[in-house]
Amino acid sequence: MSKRTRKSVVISARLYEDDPNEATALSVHQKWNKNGYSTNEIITRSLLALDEQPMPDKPDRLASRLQDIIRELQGIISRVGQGGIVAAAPPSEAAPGVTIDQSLIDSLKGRANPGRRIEAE
Amino acid sequence: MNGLVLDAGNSIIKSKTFSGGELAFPHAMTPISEPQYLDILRSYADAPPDDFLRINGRCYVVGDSAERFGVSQHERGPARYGRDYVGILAAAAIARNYNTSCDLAVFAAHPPGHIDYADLLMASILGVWDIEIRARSLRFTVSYVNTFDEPSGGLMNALLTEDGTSYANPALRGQRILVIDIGGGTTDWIETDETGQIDYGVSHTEPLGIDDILGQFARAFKARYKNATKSANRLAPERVREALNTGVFRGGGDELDCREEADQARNQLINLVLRETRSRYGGGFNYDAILLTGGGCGLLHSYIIPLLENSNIHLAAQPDELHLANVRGGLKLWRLYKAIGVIS
Repeated sequence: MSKRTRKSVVISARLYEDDPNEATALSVHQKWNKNGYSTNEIITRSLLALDEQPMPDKPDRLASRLQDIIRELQGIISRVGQGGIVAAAPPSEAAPGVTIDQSLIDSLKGRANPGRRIEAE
Repeated sequence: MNGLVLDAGNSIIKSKTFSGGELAFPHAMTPISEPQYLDILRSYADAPPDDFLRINGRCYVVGDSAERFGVSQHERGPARYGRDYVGILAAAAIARNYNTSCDLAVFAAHPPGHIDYADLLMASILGVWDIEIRARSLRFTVSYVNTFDEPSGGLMNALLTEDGTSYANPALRGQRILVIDIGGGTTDWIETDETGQIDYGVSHTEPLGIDDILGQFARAFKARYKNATKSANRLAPERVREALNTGVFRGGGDELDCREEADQARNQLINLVLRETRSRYGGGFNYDAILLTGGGCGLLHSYIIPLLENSNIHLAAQPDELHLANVRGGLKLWRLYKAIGVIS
């Protein structure tokens, strides 16, 4: 008996909870999934239903890019809010003048080479 | 004493004079013939740009003009440590920084994995350089050379005050810090322990940097827009760098979307950084702080930071100045070396 291989295409998508439309879509997916429908069935039914509607204009590239930027900014704000530092080292003017630890000096001395000088003619 | 901190990276040549002047130009150099050089001089009513020089009797185009010149000699890795290559780039950097002849010292950076070539690097730069630039003849004598490793420069820039003798950023004192330096041709790691000691035993250099992904991006972009780019043997390097950052390539009077190609190229380097950080250093969780330095981090930091499993991540300089962090820190390290007697 010959073995039959079904042809398939993998579709993957990331849904963001901070996007109202995608958050709603995610909860619809969870609700149907809870009622026994597989992701495959949910996507298939959704796409078939979508195909019966007139296709709206695709949002332009700028709007989509702006959405990406907003997401990136939200991520940074959220990380800073959680105590994460995403910043350059402060300028030296703000230095409190704490002397360098001897252990750091020792490790730098241990690594330093004498360098090379031009030989006297 | 006159002096110059030099980071002759694979992508950009960065320098900072001991008096504070900073200069960066693309790593590109083309030897040209005497007649070509004279033709170029004649084409300018005034002095030609700094990119055209005669160094110890031979003529060269360096920097932006060499990129535009088309064919550019580009040595990578330790192959660049020779008097006729990194020596020429160093001489060009010196001549661009000084208007008059002088004796000077040079403090040159190298990736930690190139420590065995430090002697070669020093020998390439030390000595007399007779240079014709801006229609003037100058003589520079590099009478002393020393070296430091690039990520240590980034670390010192974040850690020390301008005079190199105090902590500028006490938040990083006594911390176990992982320093990640993404450069043009290499990505380097060093770490410090809680006592501030730099553990050079676990430093690491991978021969992959921003230049590699720029090349990959350019190939993918040309494949996608093969009709538009069929006569473009090469893409303007500055446009490629911009497109990798923005996802839009400006060319032929148009703006071409290339977000997918930019993402794919970036991901190659990001995956390497994450894989090595996890496999060699146990990931960001093992450290009190992570410090990002090098021009590559300037382009990639917003993508890497969320993936490093650490909430205390610092940049060694402002994002658009990260390529200069290592030479800035190199100057602080030089001053510290002077203060503690390593350099007389």
